[in-house]
Order: sequence, then C-alpha cells, then structure tokens
Amino acid sequence: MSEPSSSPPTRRGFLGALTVLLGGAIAALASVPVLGSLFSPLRTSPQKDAADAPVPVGSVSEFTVGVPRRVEIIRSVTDAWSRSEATTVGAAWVTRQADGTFIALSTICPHLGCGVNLDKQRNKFACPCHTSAFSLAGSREEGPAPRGMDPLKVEVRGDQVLIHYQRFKQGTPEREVV
Amino acid sequence: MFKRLEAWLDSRTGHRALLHMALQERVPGGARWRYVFGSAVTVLILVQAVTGIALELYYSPSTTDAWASVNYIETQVWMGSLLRGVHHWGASAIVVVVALHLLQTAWAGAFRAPRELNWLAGFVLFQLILGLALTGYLLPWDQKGYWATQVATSIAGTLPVIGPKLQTFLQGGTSYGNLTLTRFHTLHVVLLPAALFAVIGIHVALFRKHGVTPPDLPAEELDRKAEPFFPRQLLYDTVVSLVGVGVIFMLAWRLGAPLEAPADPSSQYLARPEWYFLPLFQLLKYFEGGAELVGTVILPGLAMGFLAALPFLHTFLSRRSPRVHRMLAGVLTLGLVGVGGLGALAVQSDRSDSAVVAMAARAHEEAVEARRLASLGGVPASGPLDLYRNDPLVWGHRVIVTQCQKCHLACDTVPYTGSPCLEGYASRAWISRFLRNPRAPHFFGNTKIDDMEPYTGPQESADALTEFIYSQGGRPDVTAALAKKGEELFESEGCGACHTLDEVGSGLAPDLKGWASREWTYAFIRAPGHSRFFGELNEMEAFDHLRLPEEELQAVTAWLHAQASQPLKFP
Repeated sequence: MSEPSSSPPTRRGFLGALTVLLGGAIAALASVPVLGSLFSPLRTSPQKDAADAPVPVGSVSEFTVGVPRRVEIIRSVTDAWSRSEATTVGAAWVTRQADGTFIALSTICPHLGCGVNLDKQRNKFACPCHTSAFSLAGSREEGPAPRGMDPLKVEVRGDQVLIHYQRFKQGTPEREVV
Repeated sequence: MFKRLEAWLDSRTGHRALLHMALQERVPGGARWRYVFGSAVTVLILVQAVTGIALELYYSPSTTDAWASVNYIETQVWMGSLLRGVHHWGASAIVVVVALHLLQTAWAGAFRAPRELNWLAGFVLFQLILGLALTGYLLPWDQKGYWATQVATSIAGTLPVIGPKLQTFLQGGTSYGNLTLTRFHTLHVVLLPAALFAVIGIHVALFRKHGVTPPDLPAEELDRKAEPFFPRQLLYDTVVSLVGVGVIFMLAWRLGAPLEAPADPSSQYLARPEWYFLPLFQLLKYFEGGAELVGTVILPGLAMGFLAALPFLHTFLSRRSPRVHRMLAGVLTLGLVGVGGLGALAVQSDRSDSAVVAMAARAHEEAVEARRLASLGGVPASGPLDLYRNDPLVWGHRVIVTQCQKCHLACDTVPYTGSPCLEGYASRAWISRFLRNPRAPHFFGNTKIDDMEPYTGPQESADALTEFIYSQGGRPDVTAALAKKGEELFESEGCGACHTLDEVGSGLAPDLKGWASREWTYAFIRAPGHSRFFGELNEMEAFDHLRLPEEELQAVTAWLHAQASQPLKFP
C-alpha cells in the first residue's frame, strides 16, 4: 500500500488546514440559529401588559377587620405562545385595618419562595419550609428570612378591593421586583 | 506543552490511532468529486439533528399548542425563523443529495457482491429519511400538515385486512387529535432518529470494511492512483458539504419555512404534500375506484421492492451477462426520472388549474390572517381556531361561508343563481343598483319575490332615496340633508304603499325603519318570515338559537354591517 503517496507534507498541511477552516464554517453556520434561539430568552425584556393592571379580589364587606384572608390573584396570562383568560398567578394575605385601609402581603416567603401560612394559634404568619415567622403586619420575627413579607399595593374602588400583584426576588435583604 | 498533553491523552484514549484509521483509509483510484454525497448527507443529517434539538426547546406537541408554538418560533424567538427555515430546507436538501448518492452508487455498481448488505442498509436509511420527512410536516399542525398527512394515513387505512387497525394505530385513534401529534412527534424526534443513526453506523462500518466501490479500471492503475482519504477526499467532502449547508442557509434566510393557517377540520383545504411526495400524489390520480390500491400501495411497493432487491436481482442476472449492472443502474435511473416526471406533472396540473391557484391564494391569505390575529394578543389557550373569534369580521365571514353561502353564493359566482349575494350588502352602490333593478340575479332575481317594481325616477331622486335608506343602518357618514330629501321622496314616490317605517311592518314588504342596522339584521336572521320582514313572501330559513348560536349570529351581524363600506363584487 502506497500510503502518503501523492501529497508532500507541506501540501498535506495546507489541505488539512483548509479542511478544518471549511468544516469550521459549516459548524459556525449551523451554530448561528441554534445558539441564537437557545439564548433567545435572555434577550426578551420583561412583559409590561396585563401584569400591571390591578386585580379585583373581593368586596370590602367580605373582609373582617383584623383577620387576614387569603385571596387568589386571577387574571389573564400570556405564557409564551398561549393566552388564558382566567388563570391563578399567585395569592396574597389581605387584612382589613380598623381605619378601613387594607394591607396585602404576598404569600411567597422572601426566604426561598415557599407559601406562607397563617398560624392562627400564634396569630402570626409562618413559613412551613424553614420556620420563618412574620407578624400580621408582615415584619420579620424569627427564622432565616432576610426581610419581612412583601407588601402589595391595595386599591379600593367603590366596593371593590383590588391588588397590584408583583413578584419579588427571594433571598436578599433588599426588596427587588422581578 | 500541548504535545505533552496530547501524548498524555493518547496514552489514555488511543485517539491518534482512531484518527489515523479514520483519515488514512485507502481510496483506490484516488479521490473523486463523485464520492462526496454520502459524507454530504451525513453532514446535512447532523445539521437537522442540532436544529431539531433547538426547535424542540420551543415546540409543544398538542392540538391547542402546536401551531401557536411554531408561530412563536417564527415571530418571537431570536433567529427562530432562520432556525426553522434551515430545518425545513435541510429536509429537502437531504432528499436531493440522497437521490444523487443513490445514482452514484448505482452507476458504480455498489449493489454487487460483496456490498449487498450495505446496499440494503442504504435502502433502510432511505425509508427512514422518507419517514422523517412525512412525520415532520404534520408537527406544526397547520392546514398543509394536517390535510396532506391525512392522505398518507388514509392510504394506510385502505390496506386489505389490517388497514383500519393500522390507521387507528398510527393515528392513536379513529381520527386526528392530540394522540396523533404525540405519536408522530415521538416517531420524528426519538424513534426514527435513533434508528437512523444506528443504521448510519452500520452503513459506514460496512463501507469501511469493503471500501469505496472502485471505478472499472485495471487493478494496477487503481493501485498506482490510490491515495488516503485525507487530505484530498476529505477536502472534497467538506467543500460540497459547505456548499450544501450554504445553499440551505440562503434559502432559509430568503424564504424561511412556510406556516399555513392552523389546522381546521371543518375547512376545505387543498391537500398537497411536500414536493418529494408529489409523485406519489400524482400516481393516485390514475387509479379509480377499486383499483386505487395499485396507485397507493402496489406500484410504490414494486418500485421500492426493485430498489431493495437490486443486489439479488444482479446476482441472478449476472450469471448470463457479467456487465448487467450497467443496465440495472440504467433502469433505476429511468425509474427516478419517471418519478420526477410524475412530480412535474403534479406541479404542472396545479399551475394550470385556476381553481387550484385560487384555493392556494386563499390559503395564503388565511395564513396571513391567522398570524395577524395571533400577533394581536397571543393564541387562546383553547387553541388557535379560537383566534378567529377574536375578530368578529373574520369569524363572521367564516360563519357566512359555512352557513349562508349554500343559498347566498359568493357574488363573483358565474352564472349567479343564488339568493341575494352579500358582499357589499347595504352599501350606497348596492342600494342604488337595487332600486333600479330589484329583479337582477344578484338581488331577488332568483327568488319568487318579484313584487317590487324598478325605480324609474331621475337619478337625483334615486340618490336621495339611496341616502335615506342608507341612513337607516346607523352609519356615521350620512349626508343628513340628502337623507331628509329622500325621506320626503319615500312617501311621494309611493314606497310607503308597501314598506312601513314603524318597526312593526305590514307583511307586504320589509319594514325599513333601521334597515340593515345591527338590530334589524339580527332580528331578520332570527325570523325572516315575521310580518316586520318578508311575512308570507319569505323563502329564507329562520336561524334560531340552535342553528346559529348567539355569538355566531353576533359575528355574522358584525360582518354584514361592515359590508356597507365594501365594494360590490358583481358587474
């Protein structure tokens, strides 16, 4: 067998380099749409649509003064390609104050995102995951949570109670909307 | 440093020997451009694999989500349109290069001993590639995929004995639905690719065992010209692969991949498969009634059988004539040309059929419309067909087409034999034409209603009457003074002898108070035989809540009301 017969070493080196170059071009071409689409979610800016509109959660008379009530936040949601009209996106603890105002706290624990319960015996909010506890006003009392529960803006329009629902970054002392 | 690292790696992996084995394969007779197609197909298949994986990140195989997710890829994902374009054109390119590979190996006589099994492996690869192509274009769940794939599964259903069970098995049920999509999806992204790569492994291993089929040259010349796979042959392979990938990119960049309107089982869509299945489609036209199996199964089966049996056919025939492999390659080439000719016939007959061209144009319009609606606020979670409900005009027109056009034909139908046609209904042009000739075929000429005499007064008066009647529809662009004049003429010209203006009616002719307003039209469609409308003269069916649900009637009313600003579509 006449193995490296036809091509002298320098020629072989040149042809080899050319092949690597052209093969690299194929790989680069294929990578453009593949990597582009792969990293596409990093490019899209956060949506500013229905998410900003306040969500009605009940009428004023449904809330007893001083007793937190858990309400679900139901609104239309656009999730990638699909739009649903009435979807539960989260929940809030809503308390009617003696002066007629409302406070609303996101049920998402600011520690690591578990759902915070109302502990009726101790009369405080308690996270079932890592035993953080919060006062009824939402301030941190014990446990690993880095900050108090996240307040949500409440609006009363006539008889209706509306909540401006937001989500916050977890695990940090500062409160940052995501 | 690098050398030491490489030596360390080699002592652990032995990669130098592997690379040497891969690159130093001896090519008897030397490198040739005609040997490039197998490598090129492999590269294109790898491109399909990586683009397919990327598409898989965004695709959702369900009847409510598939179209929406593909539309999302096209419109929202960065470079998504290019990605889908590459995958789409890559499929076509693979079919082309596979055909070239088939022709090259056939003319080299690669089906002869000892390469029979590799020919068979290639045949299996060919079938797998066709299977991937077929399962792939159902996945967007658009009109084309839905209707063209129906033909394929229906063919499976016509097979004797096992047909119906086979069809149900393939579809995951007796009709198309979520299970059809999940099955085709699993085939397309798991089973067929796994089989494809496994058989490619066998194909390449057998190829390496027997080597490239050498040209018909004396052995000493083959030896003298022999050279290793690297560098020249590998370079040739790479150049052609790059050209192929480049062409695919150009096509994807310029043309993208088509996405028709969402699959609508109630529609009349022109089912046409992808171009590489057009020959089969054309073949179906030649066999009628009981003979259809000849076109759907027997002839394609014979052709594929010939392809698969070629090595053994050759063994049998070559006992008498040793050079018969050229003849067999010729037969194969003729067969491929015939297949191409069938495809060309299909294209030609569609191009020269104006009805087909019109349907294709309408399908394109519907696709644009569906994608416009999707861009307004996303696709409803209940599925893309509910998109049309976002827009009462679009939806209303769909209801008109399915419910009303049995009698109220499209205005451009020739000759016109229907009830009054509806495009441009209650526009000024419609009213003034109607006043002059109520018995014209596009008005009441094809009904038994012929009581109304044409208006023969001066044009000035006709215009005033037109404006008055037009004003009844609650239009924003009424000229009040002219309408006022028309109202006076209404009495003096004797219209009031039959037509009332009191929302009660006489039973002699329709009451014209609020004529063609949304309320009037709504009430009319619910009860056209009411004395407020045509009374005893009425011929139209009443559309009650069961025949036309409330929301559909609202859409129809909206569409009809909007016709007043549309042009007439008849001469």
